[in-house]
Order: sequence, then structure tokens, then C-alpha cells
Amino acid sequence: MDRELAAIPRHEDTARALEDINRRTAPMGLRLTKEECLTLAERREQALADTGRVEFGGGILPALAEAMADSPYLDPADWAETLMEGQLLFYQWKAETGDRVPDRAVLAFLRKAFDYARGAIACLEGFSLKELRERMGDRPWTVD
Amino acid sequence: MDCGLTAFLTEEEALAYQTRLWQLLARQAERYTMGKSTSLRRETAQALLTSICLSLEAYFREQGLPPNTLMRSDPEMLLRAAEGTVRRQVKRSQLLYCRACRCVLQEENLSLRETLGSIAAFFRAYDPRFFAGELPCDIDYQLCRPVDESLQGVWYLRAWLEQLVTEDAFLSCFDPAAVRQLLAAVCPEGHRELLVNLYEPVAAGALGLTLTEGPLDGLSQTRRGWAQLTALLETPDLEKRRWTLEQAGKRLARRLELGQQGTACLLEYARDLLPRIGAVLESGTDWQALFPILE
Repeated sequence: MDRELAAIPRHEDTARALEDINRRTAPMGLRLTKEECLTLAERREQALADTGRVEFGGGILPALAEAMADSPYLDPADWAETLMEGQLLFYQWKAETGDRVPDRAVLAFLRKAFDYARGAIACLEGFSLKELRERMGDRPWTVD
Repeated sequence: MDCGLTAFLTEEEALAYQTRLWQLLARQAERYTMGKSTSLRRETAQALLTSICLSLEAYFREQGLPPNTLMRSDPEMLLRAAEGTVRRQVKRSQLLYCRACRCVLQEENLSLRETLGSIAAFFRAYDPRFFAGELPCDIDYQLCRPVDESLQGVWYLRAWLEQLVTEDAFLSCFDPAAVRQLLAAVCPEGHRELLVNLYEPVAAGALGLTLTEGPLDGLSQTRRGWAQLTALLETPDLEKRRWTLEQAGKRLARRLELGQQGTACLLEYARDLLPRIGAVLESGTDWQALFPILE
């Protein structure tokens, strides 16, 4: 019985998740091209590897898309880029919290931070989660 | 890491097997995070996977089932049944632990006492549902026969406790005062504080006395006994030396009415003595470190 983790994540799961995102956000004018989907899938793998994490199924992308889609600061032209940067930040922050904070809370904060940065998601990259929360005067999570 | 179970499967079956395992891992990860996280630290996911594999392997072994049972049965049901197998192992280990806590000579060694104390924490911290491969305690005491390092979790602990109980059963055949005196003689630096095994010096002493047909009561050799040992063991024929020691081991095991495991342990130890005996013979036949004369 092979006890080593291998082939994570599975491409078909990511592809299904991205199709699902497209279906749900298309009415809002947010659509990912085939090329963007491919890049997102690759970046997902890279982000997970970089943050030492393993994810199952379609992963965080559908929930991330849902959290960000209605932001007033979102430029539809940057939709793919927002998801790419967003998923990297999400995994970094999850790793930083040591798995003690649920996805929902991290996503809610990511959305708040995105709005705080007025959609300039790249600006958030230089900060640790702790620094950013202090800067934004965010209430501590009870697990902190 | 491959335990060899999939070696009997075709390539196609092995792939289907991995897919089933993967599904189980995803389900366990969901349970572990209580559905609150889609991702896990890689180390956590690896520990969950190891736990699944170990539990299933133990269940298949226990029930005499082939590995492809995972493809033919509901994996969730199998995993639940396998968790039951792990819990039974924990129960058996607890019984062994109770026996180990009555080790006659545990006050003679700090690392043994501390290890037994730490194992109490194992039963509070061990998680058979998610982390069956973990060993949440510190095992420092050195056994005479080390436990197979490929064992994990409760399986390692059980094997360790079984060996400890085997060694203690041997030690309990002797007068504790004589054992203490012998330990003090062979380990003058202090057998109480050092990481030393209690079985080995006593087994060596008893084997020496069996070779010279001396009394086991006091565990003490005599000058005459030393001369006999030299005469018996000085042969250049290493096979003959080995045979002599093995015969002594068998006689001693019969005399002490040791069980199968106790006999096997003693015979292995008798064979392990060969290089040390060779070293003593080469350096001038001072047997005090192996077969001491107690004052």
C-alpha cells in the first residue's frame, strides 16, 4: 500500500472547479479563458507546493471566486489575476495560521483586505497576515 | 514507502487501489478539519494517509483479507472496521502497559521509569482515528532486542512493551538483591542514571553460571568458574563457541521455564555475546565485565 502523497492536486478536479466558477460568475461579466484556466491550475499547484499544503477536490478556488466576485474594487479585466494572487495569499495565510482558522474566516479577511487595498491585490503580498490585520485594525480571531 | 501489499496487484488494480485510498484520504481530511478547510499542511495529510494505510493493513492482516478487498468493499465501512482493529490494539497495549508498570526492577533505572511515565501520556494523546501511525510519547529505555523500526504508532508500542515484559519476566526469575549487586558490579558508573539495559548483564551472568554449572542464586562467578569459562570458550573454532553458548542458553531457558519469546530472546542474546567473549579472550581473560565475581 503506497503511503506517499502523490499526484496532488488532480487536474480534472481543478478543471471542474474552474468550469463551475465560470458558470456562476459569467452573469456578472467575469469569465476565465481556457488559457487563464490552465494558468490558474498551474499556479494552484505551485501555490500549494510553495506553502507546503495539500488540497482535495476543486480546492478553494470556487469559494475564493464567490468571496471576491461582488467587490466594488474588482476590475473584470483583472479577474484571473485576482484569483491567482488571491489563492496564493489564501494558502500563505492558511499556513501562517497553522490551520487553526477556518477557510471561511480567512476568505472573509482576504475580501476585506482586497477592498482595503482598493483592488490592488499585489499590494497585500508584502505583508504577513498578522501585520495586515494590525494595520487594518482587525479584531483578533478568537483562536489567536 | 511501500509495504508490499500492492505488489500482488496488477497495474490497473494498483491504480484503482490508489484512487480508493485517495478518496479515503479526502474524506478523512474533511472529517479532521470538520469541513472547515479544503487544504491541510502536507505533513498532516501525510500523517492521515499513513494512518489510513496502517489501519487497513492491520485490519486485513487480522481478518486474513487480501489487499484488493479495498476495491471490492465500501472503503468507508472498511476504514471504520479498521479503526476498531486499531482500538483493540490500544486496549491490548494498555493491558501490557499495566503489566509493564509492575516491572520488578524499574526503580533500578531512571530511563525505564521515565519511559513508563511517558507511555501513560501515550494513552491520553494517541488518536487511533486520524493518526494511528503517531507515537505521542518518549521511549528512551534501551531494550536488549530493539523493536523493528519499521513499526509505527500503537504497533511499535505494543512490540516494545512485549519485549520489555519478556525481559522483565527473565529478570523476575532472580533474587532482586543479587540483580542489584550484579548491575552495580558491571556498571560502576551508575546503572540507575545511565541509559543501560537491565536484562543484558543479568542474562550474561546467568549464561556464564550455566556454562560453569554454578548456582544462579547469587549471580556471582568464582575464580574457578572463570578458569572453566576460559577452558570452555577458548577454542579457535567460532562455530563450536557459538554452539556452546546456544546450548547454555537452551539449558538456562529450560531451567527458568521461559516461554517461547523469552527463550528466543535469550538465545539471540547468547549469540550476541560472541564478539564480546572473543574480545575478552584476546585481551587476557578478565571476565569481570561479562561474568562478574560479586563481593
